[in-house]
Amino acid sequence: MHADQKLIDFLLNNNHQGISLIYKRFAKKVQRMIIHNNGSEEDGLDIFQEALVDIYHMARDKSFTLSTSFESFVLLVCKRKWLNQLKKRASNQVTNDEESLSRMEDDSQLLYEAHLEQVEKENVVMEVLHTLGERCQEIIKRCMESKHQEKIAASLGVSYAYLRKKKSECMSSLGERVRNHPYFKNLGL
Amino acid sequence: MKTKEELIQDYIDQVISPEDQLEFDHLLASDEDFKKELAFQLEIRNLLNRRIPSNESALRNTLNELSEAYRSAAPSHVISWKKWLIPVAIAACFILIGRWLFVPDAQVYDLPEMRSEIVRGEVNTELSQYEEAVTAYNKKDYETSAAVLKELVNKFPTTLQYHYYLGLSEVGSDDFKGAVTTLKPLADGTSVFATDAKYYLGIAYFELKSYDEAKAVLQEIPKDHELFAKTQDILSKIEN
Repeated sequence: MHADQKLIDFLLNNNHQGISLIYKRFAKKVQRMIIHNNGSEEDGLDIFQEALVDIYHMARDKSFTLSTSFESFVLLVCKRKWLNQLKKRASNQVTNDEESLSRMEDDSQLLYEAHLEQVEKENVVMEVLHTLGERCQEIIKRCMESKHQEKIAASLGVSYAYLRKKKSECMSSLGERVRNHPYFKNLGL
Repeated sequence: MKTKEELIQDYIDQVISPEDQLEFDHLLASDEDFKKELAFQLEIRNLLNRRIPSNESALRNTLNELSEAYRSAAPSHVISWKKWLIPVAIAACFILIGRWLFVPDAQVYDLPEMRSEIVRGEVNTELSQYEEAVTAYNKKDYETSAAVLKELVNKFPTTLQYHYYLGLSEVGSDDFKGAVTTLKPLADGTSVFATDAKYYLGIAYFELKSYDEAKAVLQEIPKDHELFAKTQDILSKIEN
């Protein structure tokens, strides 16, 4: 385990002081990298913040091990996120940026590839979930948090049969939107 | 009769009845699309399961707060050029007039190299943190070296070397108040860092315009010390 694992633990434990140290040590470096790749300071800070959330989710997986320095890991996650951001911004500059950023990717990416792909898929599913109606979001979240379907139905003030039917419709709708998302389309699912 | 989607969700949530299970098994064996949809829904379920529940919202609150603090601490680089015009003009005058009058030569501020202490085969957390500070410091990334050295100082308060390089990192990152706090105990002490600490403490006082304190501490540097000549440069600027 790398000595920087303690920085990962700061995120896992939502340690305010520890995360403040992460900002002091790495935020500026991320901003510099993003600015060098046609982004702004604000883009850099946004990407940094989202990357820390991604790292938190990756680290929740027990199979995750930090095998490089935190700095190289956070820069890798930020590079990928910025590359995805550039892909979304369909501008003429995209091709050049993609090329230059792709060249920046290094061997450490291979170490984390599975975790990076996993967290990207999770991000897409959560993003799509938030496009569903509030009722659907509520039903799906409640059904993920508890297995007691009768209790969920009672707490939502609906019948068990209605809950099952509605959950099926919501999941079907979620599946359809996820399938049509560009990220999953590229995966060929 | 339940739809295919309902059968899949009942199966995934383990609430499928024995009769529906028969229908489910039949579809699974005969309907390729049904099989694919099941696999896809299982994957979505797995992805959702990793995110719900989580403490992401609490973490986001912390990150929002720290991002805001970071924004207000860092000067924005996108202020209109008009707002900069007058300060820039004033600064230019100061540079032209005061280059020889107020500001010591850049060389005076040269910070000494921070030596690596890595020994082949020796690896521990303290050493690797120190090496991290060495790398940052020698790349003149003094903010990072200061952050790492602060951690080391907190963990190992009796190791004066960490205090010394923390003080130097603070000088390097223009945190002169921090440098005074860190270097003063060293300058007042009797360790091997005392004289060098006096010199950099003098610089910190000078930058804070505490000229009396700067003068007092710089005058303590003996004539035979390698920093004596540079010390005289600063003292002469204070006198002028």
